[in-house]
Amino acid sequence: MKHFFSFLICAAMLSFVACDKSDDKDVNPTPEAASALGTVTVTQADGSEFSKDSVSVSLTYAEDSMTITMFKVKFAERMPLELDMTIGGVQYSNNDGDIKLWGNNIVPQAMGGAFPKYTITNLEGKVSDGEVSFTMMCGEYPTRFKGALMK
Amino acid sequence: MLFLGILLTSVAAQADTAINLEGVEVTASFKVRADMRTMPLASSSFYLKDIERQQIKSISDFAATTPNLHIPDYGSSTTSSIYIRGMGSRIDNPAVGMYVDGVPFLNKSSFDEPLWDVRRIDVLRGPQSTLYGRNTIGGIISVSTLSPFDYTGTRISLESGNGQMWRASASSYLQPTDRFGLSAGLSIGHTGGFFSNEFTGDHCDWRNSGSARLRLMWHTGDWTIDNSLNVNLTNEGGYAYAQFDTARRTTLPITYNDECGYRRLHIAEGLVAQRNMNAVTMKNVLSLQYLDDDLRLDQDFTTRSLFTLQQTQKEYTVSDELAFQNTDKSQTLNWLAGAAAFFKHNRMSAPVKFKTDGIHELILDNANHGLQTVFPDDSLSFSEDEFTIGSRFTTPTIGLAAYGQAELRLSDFVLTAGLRADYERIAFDYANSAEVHYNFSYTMRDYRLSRTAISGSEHQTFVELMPKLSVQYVVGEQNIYLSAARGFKAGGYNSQMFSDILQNQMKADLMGALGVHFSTGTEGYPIDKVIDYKPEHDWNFELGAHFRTPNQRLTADVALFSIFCTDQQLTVFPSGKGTGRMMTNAGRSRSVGAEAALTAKPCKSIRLSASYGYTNATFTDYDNGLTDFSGNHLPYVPQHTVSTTADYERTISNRFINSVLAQLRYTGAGRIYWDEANRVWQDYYSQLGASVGASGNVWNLQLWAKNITNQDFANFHFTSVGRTFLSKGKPRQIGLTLNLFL
Repeated sequence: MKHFFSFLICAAMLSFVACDKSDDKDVNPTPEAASALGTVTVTQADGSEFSKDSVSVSLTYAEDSMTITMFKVKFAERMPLELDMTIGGVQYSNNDGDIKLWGNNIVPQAMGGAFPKYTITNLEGKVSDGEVSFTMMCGEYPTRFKGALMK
Repeated sequence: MLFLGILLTSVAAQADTAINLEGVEVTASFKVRADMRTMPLASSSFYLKDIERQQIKSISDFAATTPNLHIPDYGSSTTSSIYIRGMGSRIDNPAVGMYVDGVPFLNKSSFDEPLWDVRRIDVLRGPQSTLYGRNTIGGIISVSTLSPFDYTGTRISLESGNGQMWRASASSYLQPTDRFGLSAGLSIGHTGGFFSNEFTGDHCDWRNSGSARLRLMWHTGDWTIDNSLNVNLTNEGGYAYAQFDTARRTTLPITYNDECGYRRLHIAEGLVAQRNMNAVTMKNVLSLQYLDDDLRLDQDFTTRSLFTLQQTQKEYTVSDELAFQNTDKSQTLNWLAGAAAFFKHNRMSAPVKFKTDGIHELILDNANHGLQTVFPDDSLSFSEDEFTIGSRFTTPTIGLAAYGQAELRLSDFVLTAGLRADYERIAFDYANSAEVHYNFSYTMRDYRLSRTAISGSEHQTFVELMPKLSVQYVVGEQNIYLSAARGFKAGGYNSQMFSDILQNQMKADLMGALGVHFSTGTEGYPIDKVIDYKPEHDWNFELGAHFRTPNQRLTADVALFSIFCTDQQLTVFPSGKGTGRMMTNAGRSRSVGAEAALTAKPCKSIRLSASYGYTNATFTDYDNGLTDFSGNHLPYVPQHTVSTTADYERTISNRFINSVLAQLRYTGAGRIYWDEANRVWQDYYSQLGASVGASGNVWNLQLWAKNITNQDFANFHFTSVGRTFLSKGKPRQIGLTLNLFL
């Protein structure tokens, strides 16, 4: 009987612990918005690579997804303009600040609206140790970004 | 003719035309002697006879006969750009001061008004800032009209000529008492024009003008009071601007589709009060002026609907100057001192309307050219066929000045020293805005509003010191002088740049809203770098001489000058497909030259005069950031100005005719470069003019002609939207003038 009461007390305590959502938040809180500065590298149709330095990227998080905005990005040397491109609905997980991100078939926003030409597929990346890196297919272009978080 | 003969005979007995207008002291000449040839300065004077024989009806008419004076005829009286010895100004502040009956005209939009019943015009060359202040860096033009103390009676003038030109004026000069005189006059005129706009099939340079003058004068004891009211109204077409093919150096026909024109009302009220006391003479000049004008321009001057400008301004000016000088000029030491103040308030609206072709060519095509390299099937578009960039400017300016000049006579030498301190504050409030609805077909279903607005407030303050020093050696009627003087032209603001500034900002805002950045850049103008310009200064060093034979049959004036100008204000056009123009400080320039004028009266009937001016004005340091123009000639400055005149007048003892007269004139100017790069120019050109006439007791009749050989020349050049335009000088003009003196 004594063991039974001890079990009930432990179970009640455990249930308290399990029901405390604030403790959940402490383990995996929604990350704060961040910015990074880095290099975008795009593999061209002929296999060569085009890189653009000093590309600014902002990361904003909601509970269920995150948004990546890339500023003044271009995908080829001969592209005469640079775009601000927003990739919304990116999935992420947060494990003590190590953030993994992924997504597929995301239509980015650019030039005032949806931009299917650069539909994002196979997006994978991470934010950890002060660095941001991700790879994706941006339309037909294999694209990767690597940069440092700005404080 | 019979009626005319009866009329002339009947009024002959009562007419009073025996007036000598040369050398009469006028109220406007407080700061200079009536005979300016005795002074250490270079000047030219025109009197009533010259003015009538040479058909001087506006300020541009006497420019050709004055050495190193150039006043391009823009085909409109919108503005007057006067150049003397390389010092000039196309827009904003003038480089040459203009006075009418002693009243300063501060805005050069009011310079080009009909000249009628003018008794004397004086042109002082070289900076006159010590006595006259701001914006006299090139010199002074002073116009004196007839006064009821110069002349009594009624004057009627009727004139007609080709180009559907006619003018009529009537004025009465009354002196009811010895101490009081009044005059009132009215002048109206019309010119049908000489140049056709092929697009409309009509003449584009027509002009209607009217002016009225009322003058009241009192001589009461020590006092002389002179109150003049001038009202000028003009309504004009314009402009005879034809595209110039710079590669083939040929001028294309004038053809543009949008309305051009100019309307102006200018009212100038001047009250001159002078008191001659025993030791000191005092003079006060108070003036009130109102300028209200409306300029409409097809700014691209093509048949395409690119963009138009409607610029309206209302300007109120009040100025006052109080000066004292010693009365007896035979003293060893003569002095002059004074103080002046003015306030000018200008409110301007200058909306630029972008029309269908302009929206595409100047805005969308540029953007889509870049966009369509990535999105070949899509484009940026506006829902509007036309939209307006609204611009409003308020520019209040206040100026204060104090000056003094002393003249010391030591035997045959006259030493003159003067100094002026000027304070000026100019403020500039601007508010510009534009709205368009835009769509990028790839990403948007609907049009979205884009609103761009730029507003702000700026001000500048200048404090300037303008010294002057001269040494004159006088022997009898001859004198030789050496002088140095500093001139100052005020700084200001580039209101005419704002359509460009806003247009660029609008592109930048649009692209920003789209999240698009072109590698060529879409950022707007750096406003603080283009909005204002600094004052201009010059130092004029001059060696001159005035000679006159004892019998006065031969007079000669010569001058050598060297002008060093810093921060010279020049109009430049933004590179590319810019629509605006801006004043910029050109760094440094130097102008060296010579002037000579000779008048001979070999016999009573003949007078010969000739004048020549040479100016070599070049940039010594001018790099606008894109091009180094150092060493190039200053634009709009003729290198040579030539004028010769032969007058023949013979007295006839006849019942109807007192005298017959003939005059032959040759004038020339050039080469004139039109741009800082010296890529476009007008070679030296000449014009021949003549007049023949006769006069009786109460009339004179003249048949006259200008540009007899129909010389083809250009007198203005500009660029707009990457195209070059020229304005041609007027072709042959022939007319008949009848003056009646009742």
